[in-house]
Parts: sequence; structure tokens; C-alpha cells
Amino acid sequence: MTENDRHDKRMDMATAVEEHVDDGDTVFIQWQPFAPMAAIHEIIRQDVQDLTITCASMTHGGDLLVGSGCVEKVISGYFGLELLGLSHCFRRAVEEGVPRDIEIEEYANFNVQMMNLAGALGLPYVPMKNLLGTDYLEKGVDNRRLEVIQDPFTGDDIVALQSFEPDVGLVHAQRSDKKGNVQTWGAGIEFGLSAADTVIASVEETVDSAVVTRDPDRTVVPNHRVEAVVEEPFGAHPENVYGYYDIDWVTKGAIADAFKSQGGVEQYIEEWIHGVADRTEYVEQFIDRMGMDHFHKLTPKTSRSAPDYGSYRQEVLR
Amino acid sequence: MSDYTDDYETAELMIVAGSRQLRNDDLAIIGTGLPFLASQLAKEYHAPDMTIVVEGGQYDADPSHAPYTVGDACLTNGAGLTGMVPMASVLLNNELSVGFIGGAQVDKYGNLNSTVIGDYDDPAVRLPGSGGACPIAAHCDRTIIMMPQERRRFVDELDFHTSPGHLDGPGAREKAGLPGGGPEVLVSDMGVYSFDDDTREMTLESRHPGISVEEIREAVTWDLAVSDDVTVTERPTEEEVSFLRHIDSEGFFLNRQEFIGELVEAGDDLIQGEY
Repeated sequence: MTENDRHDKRMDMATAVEEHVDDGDTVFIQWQPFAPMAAIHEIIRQDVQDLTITCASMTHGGDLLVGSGCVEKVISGYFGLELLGLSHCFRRAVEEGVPRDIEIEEYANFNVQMMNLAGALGLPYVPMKNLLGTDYLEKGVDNRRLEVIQDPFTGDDIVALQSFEPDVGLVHAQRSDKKGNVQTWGAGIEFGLSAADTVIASVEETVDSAVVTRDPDRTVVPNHRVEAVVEEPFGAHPENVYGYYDIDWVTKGAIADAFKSQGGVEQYIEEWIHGVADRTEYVEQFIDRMGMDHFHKLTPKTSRSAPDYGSYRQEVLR
Repeated sequence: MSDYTDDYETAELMIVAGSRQLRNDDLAIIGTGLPFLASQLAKEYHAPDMTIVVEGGQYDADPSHAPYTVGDACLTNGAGLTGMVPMASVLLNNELSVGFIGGAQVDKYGNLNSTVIGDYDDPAVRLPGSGGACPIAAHCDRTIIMMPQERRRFVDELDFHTSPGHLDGPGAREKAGLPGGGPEVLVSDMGVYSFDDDTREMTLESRHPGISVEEIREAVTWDLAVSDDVTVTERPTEEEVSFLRHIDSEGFFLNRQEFIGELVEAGDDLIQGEY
């Protein structure tokens, strides 16, 4: 194997999920922007089971996973559809055990972020104040990894939250080179991705390494943690990727409406996950059903920025 | 500023009342929805120098419309996009002067529940949970609560205490070790409340036009404290209403149910089989 081959992490999504997501894994799911929808669909297609899913905030992607029945546990600080209302699948699982019971380990969103940050830094726990006086210390405590301790310096009460590291991190970024130098711009990535042991990154475009090295500030994951780079244009739809497409509120609205019943979830999975072989067929079916006009309307207006990094001039030393 | 108008929706009155609580020197953390509209309105009129930050680390974004989500692309172009570590550092380090929060239930001390209705382990309704509300309630100098008012929402005992208000009364936050100042104002669809400096109890300061103090008392389960000089909430001006309808021209916030209905109809071809 040549040097180049060893560093080439490009593969298709079916292979990436088959090789790097196992039953029972704790999977970090970046929320929007950069939601890993293509990977989520493939996880459901392959019927991976008993996952723990985590992100500081969960929205449509997490709801779909819960509705598919592949989730055993959720670790998060928010689970909802924002302005579209409550998450129907999450509600059904918690309230009725449909399609299965799920466990919930919940905090506020910044607690989850900081627990992941501590995990990413190799620290055992993070002390935080915001849960003092609340029911996070009173109800469902057995499902949380926290203890009220005394600050050794002041003696004041503070809540120690144990750090954790997901097994796999999923993100859909703007671009990567084949080595896994994954780049995003326009918004931050949740700390869960930095804490994950391995990363599957799908991207809008795989680019030559020269594109990355010219603009290195944008690399968000050290490439040694990235195990798979999957080129999946439109891979975050119906969520957004800055510079490529906006959130598709029509699709999200229609999905949220369908998900009001478990039958609607199953029909969606039948038509949009099992009914297509991969993301390419998904895009074809999307354009076929929703129309090219709608597809084009999702493309944002251009808003470019080109930093000048300057380059090293050896003459300075002479 | 133009004259007061009677041509407004209740949501617009709430937004305007919320906006008037914001100050020119505020460093405010704002989520999406009605609070963002309130902050845009304040910046347009009486608080032009206020800095608005959003949970994702966006500083002073200048959106062309009201953002639909904290990850909305319209928030990207602004003074700063600092990411989540710096955002956590300003919030958790008590640097924010004000935050807006809401919930499904509130008690008389402004403690909020956005987690469950019913028993935590076997809930009747599972709600989204804290999101950023709990840390905002814990760490900001002051919080402004916006929520609809009904007896089942203004309760003696929360089903789950998600975001800390004044806990169980005077001195309780300090004793618990919470750094921020707690709720300062609550804006409902019936009136505007302060939290009394001595008792820390929610106290009716103004009733919205057309709503009586008696109706307001009936929409609260405890014996509501009422200010000696209750006023009528200042109405919106024509200019304010027209500004709000401009930045939410699609009615995403002001006519939310109708707007969602239109989305669902437009997406009718997405799923073709019966279910």
C-alpha cells in the first residue's frame, strides 16, 4: 500500500456505517447546521440497534432515529423541533414506549457541552453552578452522572458533572480532503465532536489537500480521529449547510406533520430510507417529488470572504 | 414615534412589552421566537447600542428577517461568530446582563418548568427540556420571562423545576449559590409582572388593555400579589407593529399555526403512500 492509499479515507456511506457504527454505540449527532442526515438514514437502513444518541440539543435527526426504534438512550439538554413544536417520536417513546422505551439522561444544553469538553480534554469531571436549586438534583437523579460537591477552595456547593466521550461522532461538513481534514465555516461545532473517539464525516465536496492547506483555520477535527470521509452532496437535507443550502422548512414541516403518528414515521422510512439505495437516489426522488424549483430555492445567495494569510518571506532573516 | 394603535395581535403586545424591558447598555442573550423579535424591535428604536448574542456564539448579527432557529444562516453575518467555548465563557462567567426565557409552567417565584407535565418518570407530556434556559436563568444578571397565562401554567408546584427563578423566596438564590439575579419581569398574554424586592413574589404591575385584574387573578392558582397602582400595559405604536410585520413578513412567529399549516400543505407530495 502506498503512502497515499493509507491516508485515503474516502468511502461510501454504507461502508462507513458498517465498519464504524456498532450496535450499542454512543453516537454523537451534530445538530443543525451540519446535521449528519445521510449517516442517520444509513444507520436506519442497516438497522443498527440499541444506540445511545447524544448532542447538547436534539432535533429532527434525533427524532427520526428514536422513531425508527434504533435508540435505547438519549443524552441531551433539549429535544424538540424548535418553532415546529414538540418532537413527536421522542414524546411517543417517553410517554407510550412506542416503538420502544427509551432512557433519558438529561441536563441543560451547556452542561452536555461542558461534559463533552471535559471529555475532550481528558478531565474526569466539570464543576458547574447552573443546576443548583433545580429538580435536576432531585428527580430522575439515578440517570444522571452528577454529584453535589464542595469547592475545595471556597467550600461552596457546586455540581460535579462527569465527563463523557461518545464512541462515534457524526457530522456533515462543507468539505474535507481525502485524509480527513474536515472543514466547516459559518457556525461552531458542538463539543461532542471533539470528544468522540472516531468521526465519520460526510461532506458536500471532497477537495484537493491544497484547498485545505491554503485555508487551514477551518479544519475542525484533527484528521487522525477521522475514520471515514464520505462525499454526499445534499447530505444534511432537510437541515442546512452554509453556502450550499438553507433549511428546507417545507420538508421539515411535512415530516413533523407525518411524525404525529408512528404510521407516518414508518411510511417516511419506507419511502425515503428503504425506498432509495443511497443519498444520490434520495436527491433524485426529492427533485422528482418536490420539483426542481423548490430544490433551487434552497440555494442561498452568495456571500464570500477570502482571508489573506500572507506567506513566509525568508528574506526577513537575511 | 408614531401614535399608539389598537390594531395589534396579543403576540405583538407581548413582544413590545418585552422589548421595553431591554436597555441600551444590555449584553443580551436571545433565543429564537418572540424574544428575538423583541430584541430586534428594541435595537431599532430605544436600544440601538445593545449587543445581542445567540447561543451558537453569534455576536450582533444583523439578520434580514427574524431567525427561525439558532443555527439560521441569517445570523451568520455579524460582529462575531465566536463558537461555543467563548459563548460558554460569557454565559457561565456571568457576563450577560439579560436573557429571555419561557416555560410551560411557572410558580410565584418565577421558577420555570420546560421538562415534563406530570410525573417525571411517567409523564403525561414530555416537553423539550431546558435547552439554554436553565443556565441563562442561573447566570444572567436578570431574566425576562415570556409565556402565555392559564391556571394550569401558573401553578403552586411545578411538575419539574427546570430553570431557577427566586427558588423559595428572599435570599434563596444566594444561599443555593446561584450567581445571577433571577427573574425581573414576566410578560404574559394578560399582563406584566415584577418580582417584589422584599418577598420575591410575582406582582402584577400592569394589565393588558381589555383584561381585568379579576380575570388575571382567576388565571393564577395562588393568591396573586397585585401592585397598589396597577396600570394598563402601554400599547404598541403603529410604527412598532409595522416593523414587526415587516421582519416577520411570512408570519412564522405572529401567525405560527397558520404558517405551519401552509408548510405542511406545500410539502404534501413528500410522502405519497397512505399511513
